[in-house]
Amino acid sequence: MRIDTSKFGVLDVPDKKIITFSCGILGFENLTEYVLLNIEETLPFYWLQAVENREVALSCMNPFDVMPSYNPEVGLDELESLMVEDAADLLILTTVVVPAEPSKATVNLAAPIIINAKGGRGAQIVLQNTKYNIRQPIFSDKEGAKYADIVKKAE
Amino acid sequence: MLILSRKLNEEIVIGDGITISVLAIEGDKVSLGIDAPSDFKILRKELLDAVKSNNKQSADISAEQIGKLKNIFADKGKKG
Repeated sequence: MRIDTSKFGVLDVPDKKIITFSCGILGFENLTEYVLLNIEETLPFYWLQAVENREVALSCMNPFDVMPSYNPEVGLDELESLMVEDAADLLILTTVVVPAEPSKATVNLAAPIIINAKGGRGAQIVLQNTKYNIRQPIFSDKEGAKYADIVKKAE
Repeated sequence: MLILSRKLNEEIVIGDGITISVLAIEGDKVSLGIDAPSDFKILRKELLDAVKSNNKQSADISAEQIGKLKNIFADKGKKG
């Protein structure tokens, strides 16, 4: 299937790679079909590209790259709605927000995106009573400071 | 919208499995106890609103901004 994207042009994606978010994604409730793009140049960041709207691609990453101990509690009924047969088919992503100062980028650990890659189903699960932060800094303050130095030197 | 007045310790029953009790009232703050089947998701509305706005920001990021982030990551990898 050919998918038009505003960031990466027209891409040819196998039909089986299409992921249905039957409830949409909060803020994009009317868009239910997505593909997960792993574009070499932007790894380790991925893009959850809407099939029906070229402008919509949520930037995502592996939450375990930010917090290795991340352990979101997802209800069994929520996994059932993704028609999961084997936990090994599950992929967990977190959305990334980048402010003007990129070293202050954050991920949303309070609402992971869970994908059943084999079954082509996905959902964003807003965790109930969670200790995880909706704006978890990707880099610690120390890392951010280090990056600010690099930028200054480069300029 | 149905509007019901409830006093401290009074309850509301919704359908077959949901009971909401008023547990405490202090100034402008009300504590509610909610008994519901575990497959009912109960969330604070402002969390949903925050996730919605966060998702929109996440879709508003250019590949160029991600490129900058990637550089920070690469640098972190080299030194750490």
